[in-house]
Amino acid sequence: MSSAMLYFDPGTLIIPMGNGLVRLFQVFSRRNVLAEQSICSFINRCVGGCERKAFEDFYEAAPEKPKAVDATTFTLWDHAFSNSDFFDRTVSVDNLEALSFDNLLDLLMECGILCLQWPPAWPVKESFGDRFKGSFHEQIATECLFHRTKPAEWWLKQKFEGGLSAIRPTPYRFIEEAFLTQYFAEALTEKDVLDVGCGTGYFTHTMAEYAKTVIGIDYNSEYIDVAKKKWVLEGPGNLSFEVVDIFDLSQARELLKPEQFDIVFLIDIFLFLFDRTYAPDLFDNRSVVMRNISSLLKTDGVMAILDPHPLWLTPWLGSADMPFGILTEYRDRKFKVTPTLEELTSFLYECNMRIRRILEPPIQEQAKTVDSLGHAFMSQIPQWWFVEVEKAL
Amino acid sequence: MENNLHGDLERIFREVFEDQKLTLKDEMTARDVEKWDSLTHVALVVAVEEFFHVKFRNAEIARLKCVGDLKKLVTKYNKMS
Repeated sequence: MSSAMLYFDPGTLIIPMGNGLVRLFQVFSRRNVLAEQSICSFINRCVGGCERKAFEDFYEAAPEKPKAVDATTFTLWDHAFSNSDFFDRTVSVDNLEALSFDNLLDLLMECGILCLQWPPAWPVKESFGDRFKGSFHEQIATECLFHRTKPAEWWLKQKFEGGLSAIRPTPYRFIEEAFLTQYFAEALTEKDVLDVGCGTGYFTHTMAEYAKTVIGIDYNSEYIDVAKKKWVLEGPGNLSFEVVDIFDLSQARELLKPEQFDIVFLIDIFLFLFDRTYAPDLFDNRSVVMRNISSLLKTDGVMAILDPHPLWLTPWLGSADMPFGILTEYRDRKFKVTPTLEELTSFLYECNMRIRRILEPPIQEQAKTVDSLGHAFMSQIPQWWFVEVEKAL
Repeated sequence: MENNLHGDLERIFREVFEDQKLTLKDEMTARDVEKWDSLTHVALVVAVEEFFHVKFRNAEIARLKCVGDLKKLVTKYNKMS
């Protein structure tokens, strides 16, 4: 064991925090360590490789042992929008402990600051309960597991408040809702509309304020039960919800007929067609899903996709005056769950559809009062894209 | 005891994964069961805890790799109670 080598992982950023503290941010795996700045001399020994024994000797000779703590968190209920780098901002100097050599090594290796091989390997998720590893969706599932929360409940809690009657003051409200409300008013008059993956029907009921008819469908019967109770009884009368499996429309032929709709919405749904680990069924059968949706569109109908942007989940740093993001992956995604522009356009082309236009909705000014850095970053970097798609004739 | 545990777990698995023909084996992992993904795993753990009236520690859940590991964990809690 004494001959084992330790290597500094250059995927680590060292960020001065003031008061003699530094943050070690592993940008690929989104792990964070908060430490006294003296830790820099320790990890500096491992740049290019250091024998474990030599590293231990350096530790033993150090007059003061390094103080550090794992500052990684996944804020389950606040979503990655407000914690895209998984940094636990509640940790402070009071949390720091002088670490034994073994504990120091465990912490730095667990958080991906040091590694035993060169080049460093991407951390592999070995079980569903293996935290801070895997894609964003897989990590949500792991956090839900630890909280014994059904992922379907998590989706609702992180997005809505007030008994599902309002959207929490997050980018969901300041970008997504702001954009959709305006779009509905401009585009839905006298239209027959379908909302695929409507969930508990919040946006679906807003569509009904403008459209001629609106049908919301979802595979989750609990969501549809809630939507019916919440929106249909006192609704405008042109709104209905049904449980429908989008893979098999033969079960819903009474409700959904060929070329019935002017507009079909997919709101925060499309990306699941590209996530092979979280929803393999959707990934494997995505062409079937598209063909089914396409069959429901009128000849001049529009499929309206509002989806997280490829730049979503980019950790942001800097200040509200000068924010910046760090892009760690695009084509070969291990954490991100959104398709690239090429994947999007190629897939639609294969499905005999073509893009009419792509919009990148802005964030409202009032978001600044909730999160000034987040607002500054999202003013520059889009978080959703809106894609209008039509049949290629 | 062992047979009861195996049978109880098999019933839970069949219910969670909606497969009445599922035959449980110790070496079985998520790769061997069609609907065993990160979502249904949450339902599985919750169902096992409720049935056996136990609450596993998260570190223990993180170490589960196969059905045999889950059986050992349930057995450990049964002995404690």
